[in-house]
Amino acid sequence: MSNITRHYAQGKDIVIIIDRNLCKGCDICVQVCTPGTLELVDAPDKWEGSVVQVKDVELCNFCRLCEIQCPDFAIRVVKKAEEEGLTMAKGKKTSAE
Amino acid sequence: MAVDYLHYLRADKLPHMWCPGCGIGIVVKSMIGAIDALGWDKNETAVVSGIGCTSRAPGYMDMNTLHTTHGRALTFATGVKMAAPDKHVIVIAGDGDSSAIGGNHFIHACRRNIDITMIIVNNNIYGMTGGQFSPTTPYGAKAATTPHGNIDPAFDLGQLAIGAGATYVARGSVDNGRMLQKYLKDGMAHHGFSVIEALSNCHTQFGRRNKMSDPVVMVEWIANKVVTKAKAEKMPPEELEGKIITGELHRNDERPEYTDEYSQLIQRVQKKAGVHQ
Ligand code: SF4
Ligand code: SF4
Ligand code: SF4
Repeated sequence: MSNITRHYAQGKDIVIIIDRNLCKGCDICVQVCTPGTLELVDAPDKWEGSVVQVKDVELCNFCRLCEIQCPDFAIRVVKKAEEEGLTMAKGKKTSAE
Repeated sequence: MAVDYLHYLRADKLPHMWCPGCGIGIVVKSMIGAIDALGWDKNETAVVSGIGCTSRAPGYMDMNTLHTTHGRALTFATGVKMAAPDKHVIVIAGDGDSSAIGGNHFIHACRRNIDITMIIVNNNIYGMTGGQFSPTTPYGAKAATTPHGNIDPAFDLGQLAIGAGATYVARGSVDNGRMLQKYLKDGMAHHGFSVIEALSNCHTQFGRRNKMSDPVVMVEWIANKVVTKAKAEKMPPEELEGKIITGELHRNDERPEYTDEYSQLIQRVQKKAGVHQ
């Protein structure tokens, strides 16, 4: 089952896309995000025990640092027009398997 | 423009095997960003590796990939480039793979100046095999095989590459993926042997033994250690103590490239022998 969530900002042209299956909860993106858009939450279903979540998409300033620094291709920050045509992981596995 | 990372990856193989927060993922991402920016066709690109955590990278890349033996990635890559000089050839290797087991191949590939891009993920340790110290483990650091601290001086891979004759040498670090991508792009575009060292975090094997088991803490440690070349030029020597310089360290666009030399050699010999082309 794919586990992709999309978060659309209201005020600006920003979409944050998170693939929960790919995220390993390393906290790197949360730490590089200066406005505090992201947070780490418990994920008892994953062996890593935590996963990233969008706290408030409206805070995002489109710096894309989270996307560049995520070692796991788990978070994307794009414009709405760029969303179409992005390849997504089709893997059915979660990292718990 | 958004980079379609997963277009270049075997998406069904994800999540990859690297530890949460491992810098190798950031290097692979920067590498894809560079390939995308250059407009290289993934079907015209070969990625070759040896053995180690870093050497698992080609397994995830949807390109022409070779996962070979320990330290020998450059020999296979040389074969690929000689057989298909119009294709792009990239080697991705760890510090041990490139400077210990493959040290000999490394210096001779530099000397030859063959048009291959060599990406060295330097995380100062043998991650996959259990944290043994490598030629780049810092003096004094702890590893599985240096429990009381390392007494070997570390290699400066950039200087080693320059001394051996590489014609493009740069260093970046995983705390700054954007900068790393720039040097990877310039190195890939360079016609000759290019070496890009990426300082990376192995918090699992190196960090754990040196009070940095958290990836964020270890990436921060790297960020505090590096100084850009431009900044370093303005700093007094005492402030540069213990720092590592990042940036484009060396470039020579004059030296002949090896596959060009080889094709000219063939032409010369054929002409002499009266062979028509
Ligand atoms: S793009 Fe920048 S501001 Fe937006 S979530 Fe990522 S790091 Fe935070
Ligand atoms: S950097 Fe990537 S893997 Fe790490 S917590 Fe953020 S989204 Fe997850
Ligand atoms: S052992 Fe070290 S180099 Fe290997 S995947 Fe884990 S953090 Fe990365």
